Parts: sequence; structure tokens; C-alpha cells
Amino acid sequence: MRAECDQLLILDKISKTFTTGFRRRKVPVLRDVSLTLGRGEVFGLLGPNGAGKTTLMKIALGLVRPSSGRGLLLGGPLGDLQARERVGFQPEQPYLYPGLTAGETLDLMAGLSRLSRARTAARIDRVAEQCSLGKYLRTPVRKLSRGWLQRLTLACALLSDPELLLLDEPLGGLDPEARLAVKDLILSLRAEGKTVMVSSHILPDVEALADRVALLRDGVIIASGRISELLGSGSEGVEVEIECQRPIQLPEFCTLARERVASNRARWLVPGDDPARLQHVLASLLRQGASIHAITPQRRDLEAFFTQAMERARTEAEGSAWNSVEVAS
Amino acid sequence: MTIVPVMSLARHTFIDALRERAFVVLGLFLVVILVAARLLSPLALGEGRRVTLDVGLASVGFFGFLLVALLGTRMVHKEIDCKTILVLLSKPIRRSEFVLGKFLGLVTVVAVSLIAMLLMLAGILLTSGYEFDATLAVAGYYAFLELLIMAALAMFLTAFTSPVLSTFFLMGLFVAGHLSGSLIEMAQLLPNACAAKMLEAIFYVLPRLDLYSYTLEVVHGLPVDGGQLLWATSYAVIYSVGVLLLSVLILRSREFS
Amino acid sequence: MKASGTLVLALGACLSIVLAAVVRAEFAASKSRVRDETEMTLFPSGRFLREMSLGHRHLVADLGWLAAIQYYGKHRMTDRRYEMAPHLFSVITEADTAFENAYLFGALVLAEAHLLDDGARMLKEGVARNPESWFLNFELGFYHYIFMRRWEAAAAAFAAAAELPGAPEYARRFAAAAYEKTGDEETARKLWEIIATQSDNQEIRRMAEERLESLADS
Repeated sequence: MRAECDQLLILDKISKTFTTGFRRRKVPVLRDVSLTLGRGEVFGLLGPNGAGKTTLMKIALGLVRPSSGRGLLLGGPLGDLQARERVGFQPEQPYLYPGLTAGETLDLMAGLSRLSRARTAARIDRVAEQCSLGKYLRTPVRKLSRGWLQRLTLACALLSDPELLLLDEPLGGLDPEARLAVKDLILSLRAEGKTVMVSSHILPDVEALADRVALLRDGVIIASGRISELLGSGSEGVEVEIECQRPIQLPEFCTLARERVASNRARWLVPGDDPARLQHVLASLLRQGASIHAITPQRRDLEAFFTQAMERARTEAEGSAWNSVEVAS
Repeated sequence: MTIVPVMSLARHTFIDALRERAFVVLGLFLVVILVAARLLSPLALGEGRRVTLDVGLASVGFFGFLLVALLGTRMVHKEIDCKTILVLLSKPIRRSEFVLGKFLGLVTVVAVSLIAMLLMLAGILLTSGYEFDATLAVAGYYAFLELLIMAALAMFLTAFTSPVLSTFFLMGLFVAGHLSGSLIEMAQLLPNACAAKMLEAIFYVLPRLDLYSYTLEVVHGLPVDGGQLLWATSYAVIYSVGVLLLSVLILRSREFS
Repeated sequence: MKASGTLVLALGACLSIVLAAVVRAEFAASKSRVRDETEMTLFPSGRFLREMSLGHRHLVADLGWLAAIQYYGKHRMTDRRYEMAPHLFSVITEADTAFENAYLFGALVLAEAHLLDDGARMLKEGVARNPESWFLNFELGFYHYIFMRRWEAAAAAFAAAAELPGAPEYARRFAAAAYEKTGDEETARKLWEIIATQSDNQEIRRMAEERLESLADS
């Protein structure tokens, strides 16, 4: 495998099985995961808890060794020391020394990142500003709230001005204002040309940030690609909100929204973007005496795609086959 | 091996221990030597100086060990358990640098505590009117060398067992280390040659902590033997290096999931 | 790279442990030189032990005696230096002031270590604590005569021993011989006369008469 300067992280058929307990039970966590991270992109790693997102990041950093498969981190082997100088990692939980202040924590991380004294001071000022930590630098870690701890771990990851950032659930535990600030920060990092991998199970956040995503379920990538490609260009259909006094009949392809708006009001979804089909449905409704209150085009979002993809993967898994739905990126 | 990350880790480990009230142990020490000096000495029929020195130096060793056992055995494991190690090892730091940094941090805590304890002891000897000389400082240095070995062993144990087990094993090693001088004599008495050989092997691997007792020399104000000082230092350093290398070996093979 | 690093670490660890064992031997040797000496000083003072023995002071003295014999034996076989002997024997004799053999043995060990004055002091201490002991008086005389060649002190001690109850007949002979050495022929003659008239042993009586004749000739 040759190092390509435009691909900061290459994972090729990575599998990982942990053995746990006295009986050495084997638990597969990742299976044949392949992905690449191009320079300057924000990559979203999606999946429910326990899907293997964190393990994947740890494999990239060399904290966990893959059972099989190969990979390159910034052109070096996975977890390579020189490569790690150019990588910033934010773990999911804010694991830090409670006895140190935020400033001392950053000072420690600067030391571990082999920054010179002069550069340390400048970088601490910079990341404190980026993460709005300025007024908390003298506060002991144990007195920081979860949100501020999260920002501190992010600041630690940013400290060495890395080319590649691996952020594990960076928006977890943050209030709406802080989420916005962190999202802005990630976008500004992309604007600076940094490459960011964000793992999350909160899909709207990733949708707003990521250029590409990979969907991980039970250690398998079930879908990956650009969001626009995954979601398709067209709309999901049109939602029609109607009011009627008696039951009505509609063609089979229409689906009734689960929640009724009121006792005599309902929302129907007309899938697809064929105008003839919509006209046909509207005519039928009018014929049956329903009054139409609203017609809203429905755009498919990542959450819907995610739910569908997970559903599909589950049914396929039940059929015992593990298949990956690859959408060209 | 690079010095910057090692020293940074050592410095902050020390600060963290300081803030986590590791030095409460020193208060206990003061109580013990005060009791020895003020309550036991009058009962010692003119041997008050000796009793104070004996109890004082034994307490320096014991409380130093307590500090190593409490801090050292939790040190690496706490990192793994609290997952601070994930943050640390994601930085460009080698496992060897991690081990050395943590070890030096622990050793600094031990050194500072020893100095504090010796100053307290000297203060009590002075106020009680008992004389002492520079050999007391040498006794402190010997206690430090012994704890250096214990700290290395704590790092080693904590790299692969839980804190409770490490503390347990460390206590075992502390006791065995103090008895290991007699182990070779025991080996010679064993009728079974195989068992004797095994005991002999254990004798060579176990640290000989009994050699670091310096109470005799202090009590009798014996002249300091420079050559012995050199051997004592070399042994503690070489043994600790060996144990630390083993710790690195174990930690390198570990995954942090 | 990883495998070679592991090998280097493992080799380094083994090497360190082996080297440590070698260094340890040197450390232990230097320590035992000091320790053998000081182990004896670890003995608290005899007075302290006597009080702490709660009445079993002879037991304490006996334990000290055993330790002293071992100490002597060890150094007799090796360096023949007995620096801790004065402390050790003074501990024993303080614990049990009537331990006559301890005074004598201590003095002899000290004499072997060329600490003649210390040996004499030990015996004198024994005499002072046990003035009725002809044995200690006699041995003090013997010590002065053989090791220190102080005829007067030897003669006085022998004479004192001879006057004490239980003293053997030869005590007076030793006194007489010692006085002869000092040139105090008058006292020597008196002692030889007593021996020549009072001894049960015919051969000794004959010897005493010979000495009296030779003193008369000179």
C-alpha cells in the first residue's frame, strides 16, 4: 500500500475481534471495514452505540490493533509515532486528570505533543480562544461541567495544530449553544484545510457538517458515500394534509402518517416525484369530498436514510448474509 | 526516547498527586514519631534516642511504602480505568516514555515525602535533645533507593493487574524483599535439590530490600561507606530499570479498548 | 520493527536483572562488613536488657554469650578483627555481673585483637564487681603476667587471689614467681616459704625449696 498524500487515513478490510472474560469469548467488533479520508474533508462516522465507531478510531491511532486488515495513517503505519504528531483525538468521554487545572492539562498535552515552550504558550492561547476556554484555564478539571470538559478535550485535540482530527461524539453532552459553537469550529477547521472525522449517533448534526459519511452497524459499513448521493437528488415525495368527514380511499402507494393531526385531519405521503401521480391523488381526494389544507414536498433526510438502511441491514442479517450497500463516492 | 514528554508527564503526575491529597500520609507519620518520641522514649530506660531513631526510620520506610502502594499501584491502572491513557497515548508519546514519565512523577512524590518525613524526624530529635548526624540523611537516601525499587515494581504490577491485586502483590514483594536475605540460607537447608534451585532463583530475582536498612549505622553514628553508597545506588537503579523495561514490554502488548 | 523492539526490551530487562544480581552481591558484601560489626552493637546496653528481661537477666546474658561465641568464631576463621568485642562482652557482663567466664573470655579475645588495655579493664571490672572471686583475681594476674608483662600488677593480683576462699594452692606459687620477676625477693621468699611448708604435694614442696635456695644464693 503506497502512501498517498491526499488520503490521510486509509483503512483496508479492517476486522477486530475482542476476547473477553475467563472463557475467552470472542466478540467481533469490526468486520472488513474499508474507508479512506481525503484531505480537507469532514467525514461522518455514523452508527448506533456499540457499532464500532470508537474502536475504528482507536485502531487508526494504534490504541487497538486490528485482528486483520491493513491501514495507513498519514502515510505511516496505523498508530505511527510521527503520524500521531499530526493527529488530534478527542475521546467520547472527557478523560482528564481531575487534580490539574484546564491550563495545566493543556500544558501537559503540549508537552506530550513535543511542542516547544514558546509554541506551547501561543498554541494554548489559540485553542483557548477557539474553544472559548479562556476564563476556565485556572479552574480545576474536577470543577468543570460536562460541556466545558468536552470543550477542553477538544482543545487538547487541537493543541498541536493537527492535520487530521478524530473526534469521537464531539457534540455529546453539549447544550444547544455549545453544539452550535463546536459545529462552527469544525466548519472553520475544514475551511483551514484540516481533515476531520466525526463520529456521532446524532444524525442531523453530522448531516450539517459532513461531506461524506459511513454508516456502521454491528461492525460493518452498511452504506457510505457523499450525503447528497446517499439521499438522492429528488424529494421523497409530497405530504398532503387533508380534512374530511368520512373515510376515504386512496391508491396503495400512498401511506398515511402515523400521527393524526386531529380527529378529522390526516397527513398522507405521496411517494416519488411524478407530477402525474400527485395530480391523480389530488383529484381522487377532491372527488371523495376531502378538503386539502397543505401540500408539502418531502426531502429525504439522513435520519430517514439511516433508519431505512438499518432496517434493510437487519432484514438482510436475518437472512444471514452480511452485505454492504456501497454508493459510489 | 524524548525528554520533553517524559518530564511533562512526570511534572503533571506529581501535581495531580499533590492535589489529590497524597500527602495526608505524612500527617500520620508525624503522629507516629511524636508518639514514639514523647510516649515510648521515657519508657526506654535511657534508650530514648535509640527508640525514637528506630521507630522514626522504620516509619519513614513504612509510610514511604504506603505512599508507593497507594499511589503507584493505582497510577497506571487509574489511567486505564479512567481512560486518561487514551488521551495520553493518542499523543505522539511512546509507551516507554509513558512508563518513565509516570514513574518519575511517582518517584518525585516519594522523594518529596521522604525529605518532609526526615525533616520532621530531625525536628523531633532536636527538640527532644537527642543527637544525630549526617548518617540520618544517608538513611533517608537508602530509604529512597528502596522505594525506587518498590515504585518500579508498582508500575510493573499495575501494568497487568487490578489496583487491589497490585497492592496485595506489592505488599508480598515488600515483605519478601526484606526476608530475601534469609532465602538463600533456607535454600541451602532444603533437602530437595530442585526446590533449593528454585528458591535460589527466586532469591536472585527478588529485590534485596533488607540491605537498604540503615538504622544500625544511624543509631551508632558509623562512618558512611562511599563504596557501599555507590553499590546501593547502582543496584536500585539497575534493578528498577529492569523492572521498568518489563513494564514497558507488558504495556506495549496491551490494547486500550 | 515492533518485534525487534520487543526483543530489545526483553533482552534489556533480562540483562538488567542479571547485572542487578551481580551488583547486589557487591552491595551485600559491603553491607555485611558493616553489619557484622554493627549487628553486635544492635545489642542494646546491658542495663537496658537487664531491666527489660523482667527477671530473666541470666537468659539475656546467655543469649549474649552465644552471640559472642559465634562472633568470635566467625572472625577467628576470617579476619581476626574483633572490634565489637568490648561492646558485646560489656553487654553480657552488665546483664549478668557475676558471669566470670564472660570477663575472662572477653579479655582473651581482646588480647588476641591486641586490645590489651581493654582486656585488662574488663577483668578489673569483673574483680571490682566480684571482689570475692579468687578466679577473676587470679586471671587478672595471669593476664598481667602473660600478655602485659607487668610483673607487679600480676604479683599483686595473684597474691590477692591466693588469700581468697577457695583459691588453689598454685595461686600463691604464681604470686611468688611474679614477685621474683619484680625483684621483690623479700616477698617472693615469704611466699615460697609458705608453699614449701604448707603444700600437700611433695614435688611442689621440693620445687619451693629449690626456689628458696636459689634466692638465698643470689
